[in-house]
Amino acid sequence: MSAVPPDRVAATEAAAQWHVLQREGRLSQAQQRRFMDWLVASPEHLREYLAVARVAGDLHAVLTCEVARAPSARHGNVVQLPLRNARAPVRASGTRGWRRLAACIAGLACLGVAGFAAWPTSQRYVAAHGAPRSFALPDHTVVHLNAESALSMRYSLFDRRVELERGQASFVVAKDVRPFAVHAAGLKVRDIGTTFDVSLLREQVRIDVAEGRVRVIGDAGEGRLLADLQAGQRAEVDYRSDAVAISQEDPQSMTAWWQRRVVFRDEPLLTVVDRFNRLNRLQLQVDDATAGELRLTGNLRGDDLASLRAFLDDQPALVTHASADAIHIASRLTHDKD
Amino acid sequence: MRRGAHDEAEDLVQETWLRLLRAHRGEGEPIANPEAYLFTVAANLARERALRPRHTLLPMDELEQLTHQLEGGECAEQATERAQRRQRVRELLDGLPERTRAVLVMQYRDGLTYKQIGDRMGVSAHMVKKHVVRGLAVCRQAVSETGEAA
Repeated sequence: MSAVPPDRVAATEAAAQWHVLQREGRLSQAQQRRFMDWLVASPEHLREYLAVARVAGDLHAVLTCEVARAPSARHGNVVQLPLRNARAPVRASGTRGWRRLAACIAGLACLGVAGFAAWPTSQRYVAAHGAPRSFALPDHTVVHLNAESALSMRYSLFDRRVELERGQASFVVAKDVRPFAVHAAGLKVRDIGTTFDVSLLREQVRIDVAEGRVRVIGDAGEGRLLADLQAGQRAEVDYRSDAVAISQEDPQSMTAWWQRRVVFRDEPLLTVVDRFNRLNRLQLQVDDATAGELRLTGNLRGDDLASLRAFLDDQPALVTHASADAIHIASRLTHDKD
Repeated sequence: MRRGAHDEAEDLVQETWLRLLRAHRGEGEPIANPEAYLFTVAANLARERALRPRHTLLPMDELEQLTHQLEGGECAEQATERAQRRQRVRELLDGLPERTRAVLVMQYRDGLTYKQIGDRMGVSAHMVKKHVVRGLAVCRQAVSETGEAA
């Protein structure tokens, strides 16, 4: 049921479109002129443009933190929590409320927090063979879940916990007052505002940090600090011994798999094969341990098995042959003896 | 709601619009940045209005409000009105489709560009803009309906 006249709806839409274009800041002179033509075509247009700007200001205020100034701070449903990333106060123009007020005062209640309580608090996500997927969690953290992977999340009012059950997932973590942690194979990976990837490999857990910083803690968060990683660092933690190896990697290659590329630098063939097998119906099979341990470096499309096969055939130590159900990979010596 | 405040806001829109129209129809160079111009004009008018001397005898409550404005504060009604509007915006946010809400959060809370948001969500910047337009339009319409109902 809408009592709003259709012209008004059209004016609001147009105002929102212009507002969005203006925020991008790349309007040509001709576009600016069209904008001006539109503005002066009717006072209704100007009114809607100002109103949309005010809504944008409100959204900013609501989403960052609310100015709790008397008497507006009397909301019964507000949960007061200290703010970690509070901004400096912005002085509001004292004349009218209609100006864009991006005001926010340090240390005051963030009213947006109240909304979290109403959101779903636990959920399980699975990506099938050959079908990696991306989605947003309720706090707007974006997850890239690789094929053959599963994770579950549990959010409470005080923390955000994700459990990687199998496979691989990257997290572009949304800022929030609640800490974000990923649990995987008995490790706790604690985020400090960042983009990172956790992968359960055959012998170890691998944690890649593309942006920001994370801490890796043993015994599900109760143990010692195993690694404190910065952007561009990779930690590999052995399942059995908790031995940690840290290396430098190109942050871009860490997230290349989001676009279905398989990037590997000095990695054993067996691990590389697992990554291709997740994505393709035609499976790769490593026939001997020597071949499986051979370390390789490459950057290939995950669904392009022909290129992979050509790449493997180029390795002097390897030989491949196709059977009905799989591409077999063996070391050249073993193969020659047969 | 106090009728005076509403009238003043409407006057401000009309006056700003007339000035824009005059500037637009004027003989000088076209205005390079109309948005910056319109906010400057509107802000100046609002300031002039607040400082304008009044010769009529003011009722006590209005006088108090005016003093408060001159001190740089705002009146209780404005603050209450704004708090109500924001409460409504908060509710509307929860009712938006998941992806639209995610886009708005990344833009207004995290200050990301349309391109950055698009990269994170695996969609084009164009699509991101559509979500923002939709979010803004939905909130604006709902807020105005509430305002008119009140």
